Amino acid sequence: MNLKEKIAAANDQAVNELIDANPVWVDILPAGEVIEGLEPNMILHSGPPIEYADMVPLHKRGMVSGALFEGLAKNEAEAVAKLENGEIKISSALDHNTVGAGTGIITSSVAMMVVENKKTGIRAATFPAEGPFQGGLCGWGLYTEEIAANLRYMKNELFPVMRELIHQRGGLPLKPILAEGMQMGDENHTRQTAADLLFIKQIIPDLLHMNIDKVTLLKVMDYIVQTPRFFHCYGQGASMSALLSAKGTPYSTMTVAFGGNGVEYGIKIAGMGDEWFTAPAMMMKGRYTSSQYSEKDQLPWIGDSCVVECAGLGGLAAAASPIVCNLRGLKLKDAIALTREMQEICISSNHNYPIPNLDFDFLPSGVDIRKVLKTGISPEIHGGMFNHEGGLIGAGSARVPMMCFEKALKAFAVKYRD
Amino acid sequence: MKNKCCKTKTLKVVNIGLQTFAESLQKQGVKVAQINWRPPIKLDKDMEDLLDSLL
Repeated sequence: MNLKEKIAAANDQAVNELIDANPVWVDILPAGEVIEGLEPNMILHSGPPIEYADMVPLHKRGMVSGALFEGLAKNEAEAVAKLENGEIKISSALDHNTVGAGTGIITSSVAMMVVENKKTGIRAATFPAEGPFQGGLCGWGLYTEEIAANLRYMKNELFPVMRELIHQRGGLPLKPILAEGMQMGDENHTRQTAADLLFIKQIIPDLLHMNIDKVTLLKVMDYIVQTPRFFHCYGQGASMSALLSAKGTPYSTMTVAFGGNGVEYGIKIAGMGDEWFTAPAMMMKGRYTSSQYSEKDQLPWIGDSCVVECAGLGGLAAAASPIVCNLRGLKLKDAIALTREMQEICISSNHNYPIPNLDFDFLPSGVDIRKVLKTGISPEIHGGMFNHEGGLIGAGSARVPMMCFEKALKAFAVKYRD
Repeated sequence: MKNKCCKTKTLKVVNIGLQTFAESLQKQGVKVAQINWRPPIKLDKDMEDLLDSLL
């Protein structure tokens, strides 16, 4: 086979790992037990690797918050000193089998939802929303006594029950929920309203059949039902477990990771292992929650939840969710056009996801960096807009910087071209 | 809307590229089929050569 044929074969193999993945929620475990390479004195963050000194204030605050929550430092000054001298290690979440949504602050004792791709046995772990605190420590990098107490409450009171539930039922397949949700108006990044309901429909009856006291039952049910976008962590886990299964496919030019740290945005491709290809982080365009906000309040892209786009959901599935597109003033035809445009840069289509608004055509799957560069079309990614203090100030979309793809292709050529 | 050059026939337009042209005609009641097209992007020579060898 010549090089082009090897790339084509490798990309078929890699994209089939996405299409044939069978993600199942199987467990809840402390991050230190499920995330490979996460050490007790290590804190993970979203986006490409970055030193503490170079981080945006939001990430710095998250690092200090993580150190205090984990008891790695007694106070802020000690935490900063240890983060600067390396006593507390810093690592990118996407360099492990996890996803750093938002700030992506992950420490060893935080409880994680474990998703296993049953096709390959590869596991990915994602942190759940923190109930009334929503992003809380992990997603928004906040630390207060209340947030810390809530994390302990989740871990010690809610999750043992949920863990027993998921063990008793032998896991919860996630792909049917993702697929059904997208036929009901989700794109599974900004919106998972339908998936939330489908998840609840599966889980609550099992919960009611458990032999537990009513007070505990109600606490668990309140947490699941009242937490906004509860299913989001499962969509990310499903995506990451599939992408990890494709990672390391020699000769493949398919992307396997997207993420930003507020300074840089980066991608990885299947044929280049864990090498990052970065560019200055881009700004998101969209709609603010209040007219008092403008672009000067907004942080450049931070967060790894865009792994869902990398796996073919979110912005690539815009046609499935005109509601999300309408939030920023677009119409149904615009949403359809966005997904049609994404088809031009993808390797294949995913027969698991037929979309009514596409006349049941399938969603595109597997972004090929060569097609991105050839067409000038960059992947559309959805997300939430953060301000510099860590609050969510809107929702919108952005395009992955072309520089990431240019760097990736040049490095790929050096590695694989004779 | 009638075409001045051909007053007996209704104007039907195929618009290639910029969608706003199609939209402004549609607002005037003209039947328009939109074809999404954009000019090929201009790549630098090195990138073009690289893509030719890999795609």
